[in-house]
Amino acid sequence: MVATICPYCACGCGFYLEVERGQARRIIPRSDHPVNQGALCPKGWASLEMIHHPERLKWPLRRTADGWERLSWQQALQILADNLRRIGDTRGPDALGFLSSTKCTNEENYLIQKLARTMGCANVDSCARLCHASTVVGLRRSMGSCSVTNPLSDLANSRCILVIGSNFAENHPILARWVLQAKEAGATLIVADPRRTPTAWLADQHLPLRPGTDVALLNGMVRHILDQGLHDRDFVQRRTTGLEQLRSSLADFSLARAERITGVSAGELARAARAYASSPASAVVYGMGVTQHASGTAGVEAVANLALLCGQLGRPGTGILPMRGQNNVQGACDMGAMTEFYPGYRLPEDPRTVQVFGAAWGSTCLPARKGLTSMEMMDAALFGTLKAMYIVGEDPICSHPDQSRTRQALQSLDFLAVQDIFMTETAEMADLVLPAACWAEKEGTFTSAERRVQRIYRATDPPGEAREDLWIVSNLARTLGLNFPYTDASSVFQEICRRVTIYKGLVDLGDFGGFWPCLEPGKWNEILHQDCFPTEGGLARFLPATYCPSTQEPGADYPLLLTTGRKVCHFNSGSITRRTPSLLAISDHLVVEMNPEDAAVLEIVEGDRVWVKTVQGSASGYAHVSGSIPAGVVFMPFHFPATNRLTGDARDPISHIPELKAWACQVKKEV
Amino acid sequence: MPVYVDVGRCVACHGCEMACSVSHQGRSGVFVQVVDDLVGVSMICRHCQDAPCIRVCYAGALQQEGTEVVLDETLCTGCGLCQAACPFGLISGGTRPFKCDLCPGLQTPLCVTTCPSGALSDGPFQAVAGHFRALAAQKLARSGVRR
Repeated sequence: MVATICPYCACGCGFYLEVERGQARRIIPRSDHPVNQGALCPKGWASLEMIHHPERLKWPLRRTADGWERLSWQQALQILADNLRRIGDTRGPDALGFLSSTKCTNEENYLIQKLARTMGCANVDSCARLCHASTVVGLRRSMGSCSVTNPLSDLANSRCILVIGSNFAENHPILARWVLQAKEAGATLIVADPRRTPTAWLADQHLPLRPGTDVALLNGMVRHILDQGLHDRDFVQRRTTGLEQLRSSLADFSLARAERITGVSAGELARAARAYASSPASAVVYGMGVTQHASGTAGVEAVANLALLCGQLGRPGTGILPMRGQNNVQGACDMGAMTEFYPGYRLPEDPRTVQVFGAAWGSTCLPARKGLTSMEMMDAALFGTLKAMYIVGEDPICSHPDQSRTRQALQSLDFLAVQDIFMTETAEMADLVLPAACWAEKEGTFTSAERRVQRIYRATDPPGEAREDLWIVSNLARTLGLNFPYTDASSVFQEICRRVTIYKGLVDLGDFGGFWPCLEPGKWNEILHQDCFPTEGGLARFLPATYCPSTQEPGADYPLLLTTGRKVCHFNSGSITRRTPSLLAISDHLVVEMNPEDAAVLEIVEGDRVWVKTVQGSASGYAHVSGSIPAGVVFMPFHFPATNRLTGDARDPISHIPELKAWACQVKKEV
Repeated sequence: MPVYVDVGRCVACHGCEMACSVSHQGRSGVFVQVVDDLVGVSMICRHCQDAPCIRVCYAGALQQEGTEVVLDETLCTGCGLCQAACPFGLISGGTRPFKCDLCPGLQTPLCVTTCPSGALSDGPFQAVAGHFRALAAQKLARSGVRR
């Protein structure tokens, strides 16, 4: 039996893999694990099916005129190194782009960003860009740290839980355990979501706001709390700055205006605001309903304003919980797999950053600036300035907005290398495909959403000649003549503990890991911001959050509003779950959810094949007519490649997160 | 003892279904029915005290053993009458019928321990009723305090 951590969402549930004759045969959830207590959601159970899947990539492959040609690792690494070197030398390192993976371990993310930066290239990013880039930017600006503030299980101590833009019941089911414990003890649960999701089903109060109006909803609540004097004056005075700017920014944001914009009645908004502000311990859980907007950063800052104003931080049962999607998205950000940050959120513009890492890595060419985000890499590829990409464990064709544009961008590259466990839609376009090991086939650490850094252990061997990403990246670096003296994951983790301050004391992770920030072994604060904020001066800042209407309001040609999201039995781009038979048995096709009123007008009935069209493109799916979705809104999960043919290229100007939640569309029945 | 579902807690994640299927060679005795896109109801054999499936089984494959209804596959002829007789539709499979066996060998059935939201519970009738009674009493008590 090998202890491991679930490879799907960021809750960090623990289970054992039972191994028989080299094959992982059985999953046994850990009843002693503090996160899941023996529970496991369907994706966790199905994770076994990805390990020995017949479609796993087994050999390095090169595209030729006659199809894929099998290569040896030596050949493959040489081709990759030659191409990166050739393009880096002739066009400069900025012509290269690296996408790291939030499914990879901390160690692997650390090495991938090190590889990019020691080649002088600042263009290194990850899919954190698509889910919580706005959280990283927004929460850092307001309170100096960009993570969940309290452990997930601490939700059980809340007396009021406000959930906005998160459908945790489907996407982080284990949260329901803690939320329901709180409810059983008398807590109020408020869920703001356009759809009546399974999460809304648990709620005492459901606020069905119009997609894309989160900032207005939060601003309305904040203004009401100020007007009624429900805020925590002591906390605001001791711990924050900028209240007056916030107050003046909300001068015209009455509840009546919030009602007009969000479609939620002023009375309901006032009730929610009072419940949150006046409870002895309130927590906010938010997800991509807040972050994935062209005003995503404002949304996150509005959440922070609400929590700061009511002093709902730094105590048990309080806090802000941005729910991360991937098992290691927190870790990838910690490790600097975002172009704005070196490991440990050190800014590239700070001269000390380049000095410290230059000395540590023996490199004189580290970029002292931010490079391109993954969204900008696609722009640069189209523009002809980005010539080669090395994509690890990500499938931008499915996950990025505006698929035809992403496809064009990748097609215009001189060289594309993709490293993954399956032949994804993106890998199909590559010049070189490298087979990677999956989570059960390697060692390393993952950092869950609650900042819990946990070890995973190797249970089985990778199929064929597939190798751990750590092995591939280290050997590629050596082929390039770079200094990568790492033998295994633990040698990398030791370096991480030395170079990343918040990981400094995490030398012994024990059975259930440890939380960052940890400066001394065994000592960490599970709850952040108890006495001060990690900002200069230790105070948090109120940041006026400006409400901007959606980039695309429905009109005559495109009368409906498309919003995208997730379903419980699938995961992200679907490259794994669409290959998992037991999950496909529950849900195997793309559904287009719409309200009965809209369906009646369009003469669409349940199960009809329909075409959804936006200015970007069109896609077909099967209608699911449901009262759970308000009239005028259409919902499609993004686990199937067709969905992102429809989404567009609008993005948040600060964090570059794309607008994936509100897009004008039309729906037609297929004839 | 049969497994109970608290529909107010079920988030229809299908975790119980998957856990059952994974631990029973791909056959699940649990069916998560979603009613009106809203309420998840985890349907699991009630192990009826006077079970219609036992009454119609002329091969004697279904038997009452203590508080459980047990299926002996070796005696089953695959006639399908039990499937038609079950008022909850919880006997599945054609020639290889399958129903909840309460996970022999485990202290608690896997569907109960795997449920993320804690919607499933098992135990004697009185214990389950007692649990729900205590919860309801707490709720009433709190509403009294508020006034």
